[in-house]
Amino acid sequence: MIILAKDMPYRRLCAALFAVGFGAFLYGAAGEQAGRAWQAYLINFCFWSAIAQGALLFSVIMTTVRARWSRPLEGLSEAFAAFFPVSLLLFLFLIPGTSHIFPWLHDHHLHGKEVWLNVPFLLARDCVGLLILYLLGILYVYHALLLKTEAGVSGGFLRSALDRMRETSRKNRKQIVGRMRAIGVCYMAAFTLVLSLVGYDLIMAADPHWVSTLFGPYTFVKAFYIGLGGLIIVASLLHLQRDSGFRLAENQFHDLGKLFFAFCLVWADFFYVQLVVIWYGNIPEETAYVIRRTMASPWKSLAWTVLIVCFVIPFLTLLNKKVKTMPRLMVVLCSGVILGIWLEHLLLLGSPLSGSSQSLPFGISDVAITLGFLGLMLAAVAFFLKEFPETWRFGEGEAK
Amino acid sequence: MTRLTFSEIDHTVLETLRPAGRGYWTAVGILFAGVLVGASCWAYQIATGIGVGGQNIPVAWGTYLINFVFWVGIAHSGTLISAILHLLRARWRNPIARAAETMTVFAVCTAGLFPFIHLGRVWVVHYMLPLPNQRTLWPNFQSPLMFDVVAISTYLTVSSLFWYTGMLPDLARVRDTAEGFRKRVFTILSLGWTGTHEQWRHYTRIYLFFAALATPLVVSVHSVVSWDFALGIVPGWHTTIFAPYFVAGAIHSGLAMVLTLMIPLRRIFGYERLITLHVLESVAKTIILTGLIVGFAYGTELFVAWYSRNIVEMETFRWRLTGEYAYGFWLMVLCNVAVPILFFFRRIRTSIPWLFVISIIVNIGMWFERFVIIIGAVAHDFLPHAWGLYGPTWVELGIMLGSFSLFFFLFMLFCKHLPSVSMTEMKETLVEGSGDGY
Repeated sequence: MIILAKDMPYRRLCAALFAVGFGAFLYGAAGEQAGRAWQAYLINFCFWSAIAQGALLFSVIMTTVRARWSRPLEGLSEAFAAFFPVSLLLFLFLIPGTSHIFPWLHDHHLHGKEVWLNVPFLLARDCVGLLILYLLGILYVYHALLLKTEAGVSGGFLRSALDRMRETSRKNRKQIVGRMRAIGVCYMAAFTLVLSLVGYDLIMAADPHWVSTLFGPYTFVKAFYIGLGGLIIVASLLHLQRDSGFRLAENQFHDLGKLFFAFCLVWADFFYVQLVVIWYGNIPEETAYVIRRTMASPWKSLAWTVLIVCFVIPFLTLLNKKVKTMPRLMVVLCSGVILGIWLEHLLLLGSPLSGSSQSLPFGISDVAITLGFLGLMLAAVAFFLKEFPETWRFGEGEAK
Repeated sequence: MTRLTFSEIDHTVLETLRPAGRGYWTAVGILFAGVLVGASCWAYQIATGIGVGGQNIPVAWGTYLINFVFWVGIAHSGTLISAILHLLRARWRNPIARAAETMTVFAVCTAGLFPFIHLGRVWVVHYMLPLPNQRTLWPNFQSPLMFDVVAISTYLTVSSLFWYTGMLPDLARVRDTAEGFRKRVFTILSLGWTGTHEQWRHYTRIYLFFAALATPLVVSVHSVVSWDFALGIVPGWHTTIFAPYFVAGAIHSGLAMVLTLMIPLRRIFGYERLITLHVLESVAKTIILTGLIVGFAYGTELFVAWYSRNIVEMETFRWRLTGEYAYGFWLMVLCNVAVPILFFFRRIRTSIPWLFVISIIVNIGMWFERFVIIIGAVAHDFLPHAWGLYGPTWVELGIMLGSFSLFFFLFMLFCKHLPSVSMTEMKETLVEGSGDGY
């Protein structure tokens, strides 16, 4: 965001990151380690899409519950919706890699699960689900833009399109806010259903003989957790950039930090309540999944890392009020959590996708592919913020 | 509508503490008779043996456990309203926080009786505590029932302290206007509160700390209750979603009970200016959310049972939908998910009769949810040879009547003897000037 505010050639940076990632992916997918490249692709697709979906949820919830303290942040939250079209395209690009990302295709003992676990049906339902979620998200952001932007300001093609639509739409502010709340409720419902579906289909089903009813809710809670993390990073960086025109009051940082802290607890709770039921039940078909990831090499050290980075450190740190109001520290903390959740995706997917790997299936190519996705996310968010600068200055100075 | 004033708040609330009329005492008397019925049934069970209940093999847990979970669930929304919504600064909770927290305390007390009742030989209840004894009997700390003992007693302690601490300034306000014996009682109860700056500072800090402590506690308590079932490997019980599903369900039933209690209270005590329609509407909106969460959980359980292709799980859920207790399942879906969706319509959630009727429907639905889970799962588990049905006996129904009577009896006594709306928090709402409708 610093690069955005200084109007430096962020496009070049994003393009460079994307080129690195794309190149690494192509190189990997065409080589002998194609499975590894597709594993990194799937992890990054799930991970970055979740950040965007979760970050927008912040604005949706705040609008629905009529919160006032969060108004300056809502524009930033809505900027993440710019990643939605990218995410949908990235999902479609999963199609060529189905033989690598769906290990159950090579399992001939699915005992009737083929009804649900078959490629055309899976891709079709997930694609439709994501399409509905993203359409709702974009519709919500469209109404938010109607509310927060003025007509006649010069800008890119999106702004021109918005102005054209504004002319045909004759809604007053109250009607727009009412529409936002209604769409927001639908987005929340779609968020829970679609992310659960994606969680079951793309992550849980990688171990087709293992089931956990909470896995879907765990997926969407995790998405909101890292979405908040992404939002805090953007808000903090813009706040720290003196000439960005974006400022948050200390109590707003405090509130945001408390929300992040709360979802740190919820994430840990959803993780723990799954674990305790499986551990206590001690049924082999359930415990095998956990034992492989928490007690066997090479995964056990990764499992501990995830727990420490995503729960222990943020929990202990955020107990302190002062920390929540320090943007620099929050950037570090949220980046740590986001990185931790990336590793958690590796923990969940790496084992079934990389077979009986003796070392962690993680290397420079995974980093490069991740950077490619980061480039796409940065480009999408920066594009939105640049196209609609008044959205993130909206409410500045309010809700002190 | 004119704006509320401090004196109007005080006057409205203190007016409720004036000596009650004959109607009130008649109602209290009827409820007390209900308590006596329950106590008599329990006494009969103690004298005769636990076999007078309908529990059998395989359904060893009957209405006692259903009612236990039901009442613990009712308790939860009190903490949601008094603690979680306090932390979220949702001002609409202020007028109902006191009554909701009171409901929590009484509901936990009522719930706490059921493990005692279910024990049968209640005189050995101290075996549940880690007391050194000659026979070196020691509780099994790996048992979820022991988790329950710890969780429920902690919850009761914290809820009671939270409730009492929050009431201190109001008790002092009552003391200042009371005379005679009442003044002496309220002088003791108000612990020397004089309203100095230092006392207010301590009060607001401790209230916040209690809210912060009660919030994770409320989640942990019902998670533990859910593990009474989920930690067993019985199909229909052993599922990871149970903890958050039980927490949401608990809050769902509790919010419904808040409406059931608040609507008559508001009418009888003339609280319309304090507990506005906006407050009731906000509770209704929260019920939509919790209703959708439990609906999501019902759907997820069914889907995963089908997806797992585990024949026992699939049979359990097929039977749940079509078997002898299918009426319970469909009733819970109708009452807990379908009916609360009506609250999406503004006309319904702002209509007092609708609010009241739907709140009762949700309470019935939540009772049947526990019935479906607790009875249904063990009645139809792994072996067809071990399948069996269950029906409550008159002793169990009497004890159930007694539990409902006890809860409403205690609440009735509270309403006329302690301030049922927090004058302090109502005034805070006025000062902050951010409450809708004030």
